[in-house]
Amino acid sequence: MSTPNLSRQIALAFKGPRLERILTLARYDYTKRYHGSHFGMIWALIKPIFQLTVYYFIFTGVFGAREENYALVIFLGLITWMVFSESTNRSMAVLKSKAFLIKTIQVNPVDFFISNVLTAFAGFGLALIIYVVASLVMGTSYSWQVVYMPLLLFTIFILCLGVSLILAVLNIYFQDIEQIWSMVAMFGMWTSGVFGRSEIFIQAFPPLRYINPFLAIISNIRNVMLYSASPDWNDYVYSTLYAIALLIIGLALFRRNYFQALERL
Amino acid sequence: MNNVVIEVRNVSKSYSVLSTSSLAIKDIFLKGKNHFKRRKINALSNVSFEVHKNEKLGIIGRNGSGKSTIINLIMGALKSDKGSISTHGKIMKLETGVGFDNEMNAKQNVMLNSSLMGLPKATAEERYREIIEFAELEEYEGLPIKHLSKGMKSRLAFASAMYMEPDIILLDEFFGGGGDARFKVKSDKVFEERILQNKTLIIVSHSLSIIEQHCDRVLWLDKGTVEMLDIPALVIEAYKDYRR
Repeated sequence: MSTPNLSRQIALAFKGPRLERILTLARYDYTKRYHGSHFGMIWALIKPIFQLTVYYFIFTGVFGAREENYALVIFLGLITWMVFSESTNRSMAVLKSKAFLIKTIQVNPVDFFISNVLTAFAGFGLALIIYVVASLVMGTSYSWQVVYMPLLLFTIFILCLGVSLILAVLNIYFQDIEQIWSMVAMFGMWTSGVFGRSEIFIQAFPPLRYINPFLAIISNIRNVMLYSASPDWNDYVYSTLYAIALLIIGLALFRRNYFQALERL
Repeated sequence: MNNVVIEVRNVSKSYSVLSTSSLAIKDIFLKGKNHFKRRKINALSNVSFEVHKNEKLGIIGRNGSGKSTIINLIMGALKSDKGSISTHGKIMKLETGVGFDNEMNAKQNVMLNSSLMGLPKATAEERYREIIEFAELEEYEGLPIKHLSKGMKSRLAFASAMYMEPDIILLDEFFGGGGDARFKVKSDKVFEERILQNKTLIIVSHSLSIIEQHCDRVLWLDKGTVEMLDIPALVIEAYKDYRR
């Protein structure tokens, strides 16, 4: 039977027509998000510009932050966290929202989750463009270390996909999972160094380095996009292995439970 | 015929139904073991059959006989407990009321479905024009599907199946695409040209006349088992006797 062989999903996902299908799904998700609103997809651009402006005035003007470019520090941390937060929050409804397709066309269910993460990445891409423009206006310079960015994005992608699959499975059995996840995500955001340098968090509570991989991810993103430095490679390897482990767990759980999810749709 | 495109071998399927639809965490602590008891409902037992390329197979049986379950197993939307199912070719299922996102318009829906069916974007664009013209929905193109009538949605679903070129079409209580007598003549014609001549088709229907008119063989399911599999005249006659 043509049941999906989930252990090879990721490698296969980026081959030929399947990639085209995933991109179509991502485009559809992205369009649907702004569908029906007056300004349509312009919101995708307005939101990050507004966020950045607010941070700039609050942290620089009101709080008088001493750290240089503090608004950029926060903005970069926040948009990185938002990719994870958005894709994982939406993952719990992915199967239900695509039931109309699952019931009529043979399709690989993991593709829905990949496209869901890609949709969040599309928003991140726009926000990153705003960040680059704003940082250049503020006089930040970039160095060759920016080339490491795809490596960091790869880790975020894998982490988002792994956690999304785990949440989708948990959501089959527990209707409270959305509430629980919103609390876990809040803990995650406040301990991932979005609002300050990661060293502060690690000094205050050293195990946090191992609990929350985003501490390392956000710190490395700032290294290459703001401080003209290379990633901390220990942090990079650790966060990537963490992400791969979660993806393996996510795929295994999803493989075991996917059909039970379908029976409940 | 040797070219089997669907092979169903000794397939059994049961549903394990929980007394509650979904668990809240508090239930684990507050309610007893009995709250989590599951009931087993047997849907199919040891079902075997083959469908050959371009064959038209009808599936009949009373409500609850396992017709939709076997269709969903072939689709890959369910997993069998025992046995195996192998399929060869792109499959599309038509069922009233499903297949489209109600919030999106016809073009967005057709393009999404086409992409998942493996059609390249340029081909999908061409097919979309044919689909929308065939379904006679040009003036409703920009509207979200939710504003279309049930008949219009059926026409769109039917036209999509005609022009997206799946290898195997599964019709679950869906036939003809709706519409008036004039549209019926048109849809019968295209169905004849595009489906009956060169596609594999499984029709699940309570309408014995549709089954008799279009199918080469008929599978009669009763309480999840194969009661009979033969040419339409024989199976339908036996089924009518059984119902009397």
